[in-house]
Amino acid sequence: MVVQEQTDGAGAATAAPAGRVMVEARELYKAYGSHVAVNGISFKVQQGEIFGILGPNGAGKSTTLEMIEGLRDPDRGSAQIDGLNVQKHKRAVQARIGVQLQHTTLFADLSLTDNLRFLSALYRHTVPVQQLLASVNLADRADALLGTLSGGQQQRLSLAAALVNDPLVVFLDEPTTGLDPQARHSLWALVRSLRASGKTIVLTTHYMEEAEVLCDRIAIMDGGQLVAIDTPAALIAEYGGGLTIRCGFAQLVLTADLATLPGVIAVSSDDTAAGPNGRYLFQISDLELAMVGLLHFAERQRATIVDLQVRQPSLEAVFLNLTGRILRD
Amino acid sequence: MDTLRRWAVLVELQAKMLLRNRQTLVASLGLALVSMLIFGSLLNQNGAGLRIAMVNEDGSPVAAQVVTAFSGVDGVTVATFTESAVALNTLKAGDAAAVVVLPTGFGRDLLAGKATAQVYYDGSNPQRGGQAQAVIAGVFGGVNKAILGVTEPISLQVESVERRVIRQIDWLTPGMAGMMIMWANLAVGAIMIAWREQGLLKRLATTPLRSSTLMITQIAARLLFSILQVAVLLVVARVAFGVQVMGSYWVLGLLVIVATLAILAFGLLIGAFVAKSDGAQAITTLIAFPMMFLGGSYFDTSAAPAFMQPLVQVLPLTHINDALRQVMLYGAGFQAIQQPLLILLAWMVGSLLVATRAFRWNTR
Repeated sequence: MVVQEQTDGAGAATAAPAGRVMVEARELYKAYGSHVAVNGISFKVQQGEIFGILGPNGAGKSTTLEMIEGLRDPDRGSAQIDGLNVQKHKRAVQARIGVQLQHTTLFADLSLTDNLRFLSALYRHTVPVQQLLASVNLADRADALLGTLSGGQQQRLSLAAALVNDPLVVFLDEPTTGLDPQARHSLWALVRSLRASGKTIVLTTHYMEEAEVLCDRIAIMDGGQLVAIDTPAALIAEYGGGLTIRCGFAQLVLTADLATLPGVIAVSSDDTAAGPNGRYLFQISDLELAMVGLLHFAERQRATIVDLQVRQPSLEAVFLNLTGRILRD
Repeated sequence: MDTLRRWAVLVELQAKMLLRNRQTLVASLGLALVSMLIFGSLLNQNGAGLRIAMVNEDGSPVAAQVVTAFSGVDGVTVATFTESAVALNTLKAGDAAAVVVLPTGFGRDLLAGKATAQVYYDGSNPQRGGQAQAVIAGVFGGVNKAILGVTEPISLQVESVERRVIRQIDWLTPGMAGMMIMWANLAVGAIMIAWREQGLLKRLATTPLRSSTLMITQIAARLLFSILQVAVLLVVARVAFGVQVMGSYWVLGLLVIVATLAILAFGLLIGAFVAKSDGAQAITTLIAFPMMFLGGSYFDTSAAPAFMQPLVQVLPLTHINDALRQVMLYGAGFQAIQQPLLILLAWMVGSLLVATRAFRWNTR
């Protein structure tokens, strides 16, 4: 079940793009008392990648990130940024990274311009404040107090704040948590433009969609451990488990018979669906066989099919198959 | 140079945040101004009536008649004394506008046709002193005519007494400046803890900012803020109540800086031992409120019972107020306030030593 990381392996299609290694975690381990938060995590991130760490709350994503950023010292193992040991060369590393923390806003009593001026005053090499504001589409709110901004705008400002020193590596901890879909998509566009400008991005998320459409590679974490690491497509191909049919009936049916249908590997009840008779999820080996079998079943049972979907495998299935649990938003 | 410029930005922006923090402004400058209005204006009844101290050393019927004549004048309160030294003290303390002494033999001399009364008036307040002189001249003129029908048998020997009137408001103003510095800066620990709780310090910890730079620029911002607040307070005191600063503004400025540093260090010390910002806020108030009174901002604590003196003397505010009064009321120079300055510096160094060791960026 547990899959060791494969960055050093020769997994051809799944290998990381060749290039300079900007971030490297080596056997990072951190415990708080008897609770092991991060249990021996290793991975490498190449320049120009958007690298996502996906996992449920409490999986150890933030702790991992904080050890790489130099905010927490690991109990064992080490982290490197641009070839520099994070613990030994803290200042040099701090000058090379930009960080957005979860649930952290800046100074509510200062304007956006002043917030960025404050952060700019902490570095020797900086990007002009007006340029930063324009890059996150906040130029028109430059003089507004931070406290008066919407959630999405605050997230964009804290992204701009992570860029004041023109960093090589940008860390984003749950950058879109709590944002509406529109704000989320606009933030994704910004992150992609960062990649286009040659920056390396490491982000954590517990949104499947975010990991799937935004990240070049994903590390899946659960219970402080890395369970898989690869591109979204490769993860889905390997662990997605093929197509799924989701189907509901207007009448009660004999569910015991469902698992014996041709082309069906397993059936589970989809407890996320509302309604009196429930919905069923079929993992299938052959789409055509399963569909025909299902229609015959409905006819025999004199039941009406009310809801029918064929689903491509997704990261959700990957997570379910790897951890045995459903990852919810 | 680049470092200095960047530090200046940090100071500017932190000062901006202080100015925008209404809670701090109301608790410091607001409280000081309201107190001055109440204690300095409404309760300050000194100037209402003209109080004249009469010293009747003679005791003759004629002398008694002169005293009665003064009592009959509208708006004049007469206080009688038997010793001129005591009466002069009340004048020096600002409790009387003038002293009239009817010397021994006044009655006999008057009957002989040539008597002298000694008049002392408040020379430091020309308005009150002049008013008193006019009243006194009028009364003696009347006495001369009514009793004797003779012009000017009593000549007045008039003397001005130089003294400084230290009014309630004059005494209160330095205390309010001290109290303001305390309220504005003691909460520095609570604010740093709030920054820590909001994750702001953690965010800053991902940058090359050093904790010492953050501390120094925060302190510099608060020094600017305190100097500005004291300046506003003094301007209001001057314009609204005619309060004057006797000492040098340079000495006063230095004192404000040292006082602010001592309180800031004390505030950081509080912050170092409290985990939550609301707890720090509560403890700050719990310390500041009694200190405001025990430190002598409103009342003279030198008269406090002996068992309280050790407590009074250990409070930094006691020494801040003491030095402020020395400078503002008596024009004390740098030499004269060395002792309170040294005590405040000791407070600062001691608190900072403990506080910087306990500084943490993180909540955990």
